[in-house]
Amino acid sequence: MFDAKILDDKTVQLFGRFDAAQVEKARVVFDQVKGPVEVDFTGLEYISSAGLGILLMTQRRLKEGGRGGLRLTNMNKHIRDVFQYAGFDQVFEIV
Amino acid sequence: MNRNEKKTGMRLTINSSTDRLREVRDFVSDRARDAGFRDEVVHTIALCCDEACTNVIKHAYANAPDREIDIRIIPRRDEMEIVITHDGESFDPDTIKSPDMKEYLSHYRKGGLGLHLIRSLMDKVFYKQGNGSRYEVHLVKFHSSP
Repeated sequence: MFDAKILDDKTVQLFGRFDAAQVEKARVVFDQVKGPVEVDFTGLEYISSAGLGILLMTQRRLKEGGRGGLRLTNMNKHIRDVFQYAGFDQVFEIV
Repeated sequence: MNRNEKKTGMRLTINSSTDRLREVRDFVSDRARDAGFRDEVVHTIALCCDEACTNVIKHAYANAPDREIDIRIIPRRDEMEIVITHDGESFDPDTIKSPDMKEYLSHYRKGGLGLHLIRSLMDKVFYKQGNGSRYEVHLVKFHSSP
């Protein structure tokens, strides 16, 4: 199970497990992000490189358009570890 | 589970669909936990198996969902080995460079990240031809890993 919801113009909530099976579903949601948003990981249990790739592409699009970036919040320890292994903690604001 | 698929104590056979990745992670996690790995390491082993199976689906099978992937666990006293077997196109990840992560992140590159994670998190990674047209990806984690 995976879900991504835009709550308002400022927040995207993630739920479940974000692996390669979920890329298209996630892409549809993140393509709607037009400016700086908080991505709330409270409900997310797992992420693989496929999920990281979607976040990175969204960050790239926003940065290149001068429209801010993603602020990632409430990650569990395993997910935070994956960001560190990949070096993604250097690219995103993680709080 | 399809008729031809098998799930025994140390072996799981799935069709080549990313919808099956969760099952792979659960299977590998259970065996790693049984083998005595601590929770953090269990998670990294499961992640690497997810990434390896994803690569097989994407590169060896070109996203065809009806091919076969076999995952076999070989527990040993000092290590656990996971052998992922497919009969798709051969791709030797040894010929693929891991991305330069500094450049990758600063220019928001795409691709190669799964391989980078596998190489970073597993203690040994190697590839070899199995029986007939089958190819094997071997992932090894030592119990002594930090």
